[in-house]
Amino acid sequence: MNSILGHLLVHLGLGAAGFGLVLGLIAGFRQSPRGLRWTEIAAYVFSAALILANLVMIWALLSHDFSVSYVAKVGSRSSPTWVTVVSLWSSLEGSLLFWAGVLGAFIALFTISSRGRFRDYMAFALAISLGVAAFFTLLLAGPADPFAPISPVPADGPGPNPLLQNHLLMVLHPPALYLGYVGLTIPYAIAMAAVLRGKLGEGWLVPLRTWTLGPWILLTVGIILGGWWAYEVLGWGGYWAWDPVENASLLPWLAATGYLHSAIVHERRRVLKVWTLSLVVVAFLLTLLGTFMTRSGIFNSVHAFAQSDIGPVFLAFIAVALLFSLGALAGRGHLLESEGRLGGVLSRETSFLLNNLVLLVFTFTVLLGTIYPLLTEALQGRKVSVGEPYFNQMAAPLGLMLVFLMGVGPALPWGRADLRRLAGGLGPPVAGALVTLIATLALGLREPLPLATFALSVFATVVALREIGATILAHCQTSAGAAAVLQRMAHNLVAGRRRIGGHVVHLGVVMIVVAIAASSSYKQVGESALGIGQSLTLGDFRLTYLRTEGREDPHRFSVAAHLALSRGETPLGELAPRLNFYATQREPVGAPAVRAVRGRDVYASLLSFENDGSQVVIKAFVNPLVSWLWWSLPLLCGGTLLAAWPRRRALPEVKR
Amino acid sequence: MSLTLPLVALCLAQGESQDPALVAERIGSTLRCPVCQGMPIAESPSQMAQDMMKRVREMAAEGKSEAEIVDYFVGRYGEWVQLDPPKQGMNLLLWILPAGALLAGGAALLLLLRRRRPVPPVAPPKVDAELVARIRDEVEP
Amino acid sequence: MKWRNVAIVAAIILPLLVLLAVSFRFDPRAVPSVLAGRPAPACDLRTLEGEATSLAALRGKPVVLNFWSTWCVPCVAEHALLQQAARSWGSRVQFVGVVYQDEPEAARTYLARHGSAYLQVLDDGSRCAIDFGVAGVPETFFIDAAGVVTHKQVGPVDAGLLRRHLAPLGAGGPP
Repeated sequence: MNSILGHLLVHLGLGAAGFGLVLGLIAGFRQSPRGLRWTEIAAYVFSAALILANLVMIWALLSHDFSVSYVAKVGSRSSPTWVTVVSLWSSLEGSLLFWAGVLGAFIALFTISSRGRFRDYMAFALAISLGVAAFFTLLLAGPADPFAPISPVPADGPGPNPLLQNHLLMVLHPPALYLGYVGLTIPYAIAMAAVLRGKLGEGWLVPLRTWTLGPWILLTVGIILGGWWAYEVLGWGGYWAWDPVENASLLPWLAATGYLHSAIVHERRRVLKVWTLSLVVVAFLLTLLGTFMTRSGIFNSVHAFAQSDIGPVFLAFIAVALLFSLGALAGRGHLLESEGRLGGVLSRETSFLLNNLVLLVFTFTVLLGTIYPLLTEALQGRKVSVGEPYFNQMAAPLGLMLVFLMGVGPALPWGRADLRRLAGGLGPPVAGALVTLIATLALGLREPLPLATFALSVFATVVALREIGATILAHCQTSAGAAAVLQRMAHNLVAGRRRIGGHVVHLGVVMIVVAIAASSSYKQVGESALGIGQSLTLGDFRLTYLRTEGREDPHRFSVAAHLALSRGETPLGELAPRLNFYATQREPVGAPAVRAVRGRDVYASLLSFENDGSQVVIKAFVNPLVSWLWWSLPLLCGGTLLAAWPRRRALPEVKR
Repeated sequence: MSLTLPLVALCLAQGESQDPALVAERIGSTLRCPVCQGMPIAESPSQMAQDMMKRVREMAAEGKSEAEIVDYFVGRYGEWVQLDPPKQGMNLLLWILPAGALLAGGAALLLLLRRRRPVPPVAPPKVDAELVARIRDEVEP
Repeated sequence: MKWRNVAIVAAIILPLLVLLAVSFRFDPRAVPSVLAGRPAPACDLRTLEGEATSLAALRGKPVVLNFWSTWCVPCVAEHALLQQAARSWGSRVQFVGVVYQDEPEAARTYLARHGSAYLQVLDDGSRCAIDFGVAGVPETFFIDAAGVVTHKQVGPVDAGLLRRHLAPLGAGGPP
């Protein structure tokens, strides 16, 4: 029953998407209002069909309908309910179904929010997003069918991968990432609509920006939550491993970040139209590449789904999307001629362009490092690895350049800089950086890289705070009385929300940079076998082994080592790192215990234990400032929300 | 671009400790765990990685040099075991290409900014002034 | 953007796509062996009964060295074949099983139940496995009488493979 219903909905969605793709293109070239209306209907039908198909799958999972192949693959009667729901995206077919459902939701939202406006672009934009939708639905209808009926019907299933059952963050991390990934389809469609239409009006820039900011922040949140999950679950004391799939999520993020910056130059100076649109296109193509990398089986990674035969189909789609985008940009890009011009060498524009350059080189480097092993194997038959050491080494200087630009950029005026004013403007941030440098040196830190990072971070922080302050306090006259000042400030906050939001996001980014520098340079590690009452000392922290406790859950067995944590003579309670044993997996899955103590995390993993509880092997870390990574989330989200907040209904299209 | 060189120098100038335990940690973080998924042996919780890590610590305690320990593992698992590919032969592309891209991009940027193009005379489109103000409000940072 | 620019971009990106397409042939999990043609490590080992022994002590006869464990499904699958082979080749080839990452007790119980026709040894701290560059089980090494590794088999062996790799070692065919 569920199989039939699911198949029906998937095929309905596929039909609607294919119909909308063809009709939308025709309606776009002919500028036919009736065609547009029918394309909108096709979009709604697709969205409804795929969202319903997801609900059918969730229902099948919850009701343990093992006659549906996907349920038989990942379902289990012993899993808790939340694990059962999460199984929707825990394996290949389900994740693609979820993907298509999310795309459906985005397309519906996009169609509704643009109803009656942007009429000369919408047909193209819908056609392109439905084209992408058609591809994913095609996978669901053929090579990755989650609804295939199976017989005989098994009585129970294995449950999803134990790693996914271990932490509640697994409920948030993949959907956030998927939403970001999938969401980038919409700005791609908007950009390509402008290219196909051969014009990019000011009104069309607003949805482009808003629809990029949304997926961008979701991608950001997804990446950070992924790091948090790894930190809380994998037990090696780190949060980022430059795994191919982690890289795959970083690539579109870097390109989209580049777009968000070049868009500002475009709006201010009326230049770089094609360049700005190209960045959106690149970000989208990189999401496809990332999805391909996760699902093709050519990369070995924690995230890789089991080998499947969708790889070649996917690669073909990437090639089609690439050729289409390139062809359209080349054939019609000249219609979007730049009207304005850039300023001098020393100007705000330059800092944005440099930012774009560094971000693109960063993207290129990560991509190169990720695919390099494929290259050597193909050309020389040599198997090599490119891992953390390489990426860290490359990311450090590029990241520092970005922090530097983040500080210098806002200090530079548009057009041409007046050197005297520039020097005056850079005074306070430079002073802040120097004070930081002296203070950190006085604290006994000597490593040049973190020292430079801290100093540059303070530099950028001072600039961001000053920009926020200056924007809010602009034209405030204290003589006017408190009420008038507050009113003025509120007005400034609303009027300058994009600038303020941008700088709030910058503050979040600075927190991340500082957290990375501090935690990678000043972590302490210790590992030892502890008998009862013995302790492991790390700096001023001490962990004393108390006892081992076992616990039986329906879907797993877990062993926890209880450790007493103290700092100097002050007891700080217990840490209980665990090892979880799942019937389907030989190697146990760790569950480290973390305690934040004044900006530092004490992090303990249980590596092994004696069955009688007489001895455990503990690996412990003291990680400074890691919690700043998670605390950056409110700043990043708040800033983005502020920047994206619409003040009033968007403007009617400018007629030409 | 004057920014690039000092930064690169900075990254290379990171001090290195000779304490055997730290040497072992450092080597362990550059050797790939063969039974895991691209993880260094210093970070993997798997038994095999821990056994390899033990071997690294033993060798470091015996006073073996970093190169000797790495060579020992390369001799058994091949170049594949190094997460930090040796800087030789085709591997150099990993460093040359990004650096080249940065330099070429910087040069292209400089050319773009230096090129003094006459501003093409564009007739301002006839639009309602109020609308323009609202648009400015909407899009201006 | 002009067609020339497109050509440049395409020239960069199309090889990337070709590369990804070619990569379907590779197994990302395979770890290369560098030992073939080189002397086998000496490996100090312990028998299941706890006596010290070593690979070096077995020199003079071709050796089939099989890393296995009771939790590994393909190992269990090839167990019967290896038993059979050890019996057929008899004294001309020394078969050795190395218990990898497993409890000695589990191995003893398993062998008592499923038969043990050849030497089984324990590898403390996986030292021998590391020396052989083992990256998972089962892995089987063919070593000639002079102690040189001639072949590494990743994954389970079959009868044809055993014959193919033992013949050049002067072991002759199975009777």
